[in-house]
Amino acid sequence: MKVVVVKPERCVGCLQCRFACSVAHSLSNSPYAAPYESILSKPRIHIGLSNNKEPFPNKCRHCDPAPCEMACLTKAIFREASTGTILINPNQCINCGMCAMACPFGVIRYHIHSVNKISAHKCDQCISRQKEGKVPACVEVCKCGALVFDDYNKIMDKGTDEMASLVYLGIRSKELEKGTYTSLTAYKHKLQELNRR
Amino acid sequence: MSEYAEFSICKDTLLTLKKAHEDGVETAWDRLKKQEPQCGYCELGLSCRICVMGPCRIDPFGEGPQRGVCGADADIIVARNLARMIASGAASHSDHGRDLVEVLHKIGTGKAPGYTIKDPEKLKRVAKEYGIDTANIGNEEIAKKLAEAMMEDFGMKKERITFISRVPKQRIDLWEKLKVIPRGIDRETSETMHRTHMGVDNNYVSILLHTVRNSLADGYGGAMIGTELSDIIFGTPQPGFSEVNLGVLKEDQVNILVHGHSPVVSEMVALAVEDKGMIELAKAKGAKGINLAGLCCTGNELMMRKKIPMAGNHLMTELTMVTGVVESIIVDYQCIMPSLGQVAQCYHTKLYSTSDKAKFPLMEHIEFTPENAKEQAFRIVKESIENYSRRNKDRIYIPVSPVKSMTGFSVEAILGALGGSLNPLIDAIKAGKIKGAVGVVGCNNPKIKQDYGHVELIKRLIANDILVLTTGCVNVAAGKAGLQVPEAKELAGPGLKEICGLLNIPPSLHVGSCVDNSRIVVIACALANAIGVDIDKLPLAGAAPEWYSEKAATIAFYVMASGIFTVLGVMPPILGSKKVTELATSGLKDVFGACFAVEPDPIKAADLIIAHIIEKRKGLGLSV
Amino acid sequence: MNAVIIGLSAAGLSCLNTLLRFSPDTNITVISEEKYSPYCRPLLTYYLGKTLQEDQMSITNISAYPANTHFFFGERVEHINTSKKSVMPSSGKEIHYDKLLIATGANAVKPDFYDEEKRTFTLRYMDDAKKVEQYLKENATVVGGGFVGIKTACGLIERNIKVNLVVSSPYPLSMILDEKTAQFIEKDLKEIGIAIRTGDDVSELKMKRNTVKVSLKSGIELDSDVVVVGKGVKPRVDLARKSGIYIAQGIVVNEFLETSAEGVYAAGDCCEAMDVVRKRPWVNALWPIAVEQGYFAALNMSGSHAPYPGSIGMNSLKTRSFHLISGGVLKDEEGVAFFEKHFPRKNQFRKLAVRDNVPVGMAFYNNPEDAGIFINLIKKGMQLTVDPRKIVSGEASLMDILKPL
Repeated sequence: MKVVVVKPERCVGCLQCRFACSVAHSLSNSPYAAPYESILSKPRIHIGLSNNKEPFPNKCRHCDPAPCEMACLTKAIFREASTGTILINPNQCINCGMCAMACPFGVIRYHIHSVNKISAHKCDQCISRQKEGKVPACVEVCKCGALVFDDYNKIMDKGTDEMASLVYLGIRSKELEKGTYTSLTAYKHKLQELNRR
Repeated sequence: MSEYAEFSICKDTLLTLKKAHEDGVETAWDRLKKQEPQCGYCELGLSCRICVMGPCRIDPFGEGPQRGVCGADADIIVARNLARMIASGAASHSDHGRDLVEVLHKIGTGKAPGYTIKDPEKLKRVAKEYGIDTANIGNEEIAKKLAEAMMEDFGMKKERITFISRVPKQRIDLWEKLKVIPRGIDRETSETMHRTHMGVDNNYVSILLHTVRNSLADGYGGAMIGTELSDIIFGTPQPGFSEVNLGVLKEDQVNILVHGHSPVVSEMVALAVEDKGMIELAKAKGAKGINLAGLCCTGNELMMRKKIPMAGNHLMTELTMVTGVVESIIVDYQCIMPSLGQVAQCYHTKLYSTSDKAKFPLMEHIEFTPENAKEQAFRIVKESIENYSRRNKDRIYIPVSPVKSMTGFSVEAILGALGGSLNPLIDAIKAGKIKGAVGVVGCNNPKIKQDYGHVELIKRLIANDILVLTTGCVNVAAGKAGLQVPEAKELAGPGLKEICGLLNIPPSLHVGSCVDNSRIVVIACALANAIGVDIDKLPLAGAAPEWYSEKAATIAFYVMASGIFTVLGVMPPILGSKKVTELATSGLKDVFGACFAVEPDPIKAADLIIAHIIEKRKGLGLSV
Repeated sequence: MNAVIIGLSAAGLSCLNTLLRFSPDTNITVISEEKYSPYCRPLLTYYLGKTLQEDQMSITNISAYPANTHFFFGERVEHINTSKKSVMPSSGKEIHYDKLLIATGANAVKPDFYDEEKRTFTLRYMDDAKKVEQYLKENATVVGGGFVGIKTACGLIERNIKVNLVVSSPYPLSMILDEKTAQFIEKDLKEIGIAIRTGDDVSELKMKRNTVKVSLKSGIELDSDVVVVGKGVKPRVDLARKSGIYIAQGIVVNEFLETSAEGVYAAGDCCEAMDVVRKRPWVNALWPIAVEQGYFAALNMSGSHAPYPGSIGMNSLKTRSFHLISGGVLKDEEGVAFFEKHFPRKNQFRKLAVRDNVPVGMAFYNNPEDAGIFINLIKKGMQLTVDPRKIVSGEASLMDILKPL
């Protein structure tokens, strides 16, 4: 079983994953047509920013047990057994907001899904693309290795929180090699510090 | 106010920014926040949108793609992107210069009513540089001939552009050897676009050398023509006093702001606001008079020549309307945020665009040509006066009082202050009273606390007996901080203080707009010629602490290529290529005798500059 | 192993599903009083608001369960013999257990004036909703300014029924919110057309033909087709009590959700587990918490050693015009500092209560995106790494908060 693993130290903040995510969840599934659809598809990956202006990809970790699934009153949120992916059935969602309350990572948004129907949105690990043998759209467009599609079993034994954080941040502590992007990050830290002077 | 402290050091900015947010006005700072995180590929210069085999990007971590579809690696992509950036900057200044050539030509052919030759002496002097025999012909004829000769500078008729002759011989020889002497102003920009097309120049060194040539076509071509012709047509600036900050707006007067870069439009507006009929009209509408103030470089042009006050620099342009007292803003081109119209929707301010090549959303377009400029200026001023009655008196907010600031230091004015020759300055440098001179230039950039970089750098430099020359947005920053009045000598080191006292000048001199950076290189050339050394031997430096514009990148390049060490406060998008970065920050030194440094901290930037000036003084055998 | 589950709502069902997931061989018997297939009680207000039909409220499909699960619907458990480890259902056939879950839930609190003859109902069971439904025409009076009261009022307004909402406290949601946050809610409720009467209460109900005459203490008289009471719930602990299991407010459990009787667990609205913020046992009767407790009870019943991390009071209230997410305790107590920021232009408000640099309460009004992050911080009792002022002002970034997680 594979999951999207996030390596934030690799993220350059290009936002291509957001665009690809929107396209992958649009009706047309086309980067040219998606921006013209009457109900615009919304990205399910969010790029936050640290105080030092480091970009920070934030998306659903498909926790187990999943607090959003537990909080969902209508069982619109469920775990797809074969991939372990937490999915939302938009037709069952009543937009009660419980999942946003429950999600420890703040990745759930509410958008119009079809005419007159708002539902909770979050990452579905591109389950339909996976069925076609493709990797999730965000992973496909990430050329920096900040989003990778990797085996889940390595971290399977851990407890929920620990695991969710590991999927997410475990690789963080890895020593950063000196590179061009590191110089840019260092420069940005400096700018931040100066502006706070 | 404190919650905004990281945005600006200026009281007027902080207070009006707060009000802007209360009024629901979105500013550049808000938009920057919404843009963040900004794309790392683009910040590193690693994205290429030149052709449609792409767009391509290079993974800075080395795992993903390392070449674009065409095969270009990081070095080529970064160099091409940088070259195109500099071409745009050169094109901007040069197109501005071209407009003045056009006006000069129309004056010469009697087609520009309203425009005259204000400095016939300079007209003749410059005409002589162009080899025009000025004896026995009238000013109009000289104007026509000079304009036509300058048109040739823009084309491909010449081997080298004319003002190159102002450069010390050693430097010309170096440039000749490197094949970077510009042949025609537009030619070099065109060639940059050609070279950076897919499949042309794919050697990053070769691309960058041509980029240098392109920038020199600006500094010694388009921009220099812009400066010299503005002086000829509108008068060469002379020292005098004016005022800066938002307090220059007057609650009881019709306030008209001019914004942009070209004096061609704003000079006509300045003419119209002095018209008795217009002033009477304003009084009939209940105002005490008409108050004209400047923004950005068109403001600098008017301030230099006419001592018209300046309401602010780049990041103030949106906020001026928040005062609720601006009847109109008349813009020409460059650095005019397309958001102005949106801001104006919240207030009564009318906005006018005037140039065929610069139109904006939610602005009325009233086109200015050399032929109709005067009548159009009167029309806009009249409409602005009529707009006075639409002002909402309850929303007026002018939170500060203006600060006095000295201006008008053209090359001619500096020579005048020195008694007609550079020798007193050279003597002061030799004696160590003035350790060196630094041009502090450039823009504002919302990534940097507004004016912090400018003001802190200038303060440190003058305290170390280094004379500062300011242009562009730095002028307002230094003016607001009280650094551009003779009294500021108290902040200077003992030597500089003595000289400032003697000449009754500030330690930070306003030399003009951003095209007027050509004045700084003219002084540098003249100093080098007078001492008999190349420019790179002189204790000079340049700094652009808060630059944002492509024009600033071009200026930095021609200043560096002239042999002047240049410190940038904002990182240009080159970090993606280690080779280009190394070349820019050290390799160039072996070629041009000068290179770049990037240092956002003005205190450290000052240290770099001071160390550089000491090194140069040592090189000349001067005391340190 | 034989597992018996009493009650098949949030906690019971969660326990059942979790047992089947991690110990699929367990022999499970479920005894439920309800005659309906398991449905979600918090959805009753949506049912009343006609957002949902009865079949959409179902939370599981009983027919899909494997053969080792046995269901007894419409049956009560009369007694638990904790020494013999067996339960006695109303049908009379004793069932032996190795592990037992008591998930008997809670009942609605019925005030003195409660009288079904006078068309006054609580909203706890499907049948309650159906009773209310049969009288609904044009006017309704809702008594109680808590979540159920407000959700009921909002649901009815969606059906163009005129609603009077009677709130005994000076402001709605007074059990959870401070006055300032509640003012936003009150204003919004008024704007969508609910006549909200704070600081007032029902003094008398009278039937006059087909109308309930509701007299309020303030002297106001309201004509109403029906009266719905939402005055909170009380844990159903009678069975546990008469079976000798230790009871306080609810059924007392240890950190593994085990009661005083060995092998007997409790979860959901009847269970008094640790409240992280209050630092003492507390009944937080809330659907997601019941599901969570059912999950942890199942883990422990199947032999894992899974301490329940504790709960906090929390809720999400989303209506046509606003979305409130609250958690923990926002009461002004000694040692608690409050941080708040109102964004009038975005119509947002954030409030955070912090004790010793640990967040203990929050209310995010129209700002749901980050709310869960803080709910989680409160739940975990984690030290803040970021200035709370910056959190409420939105300046602190997600990353800086999530980093230590």
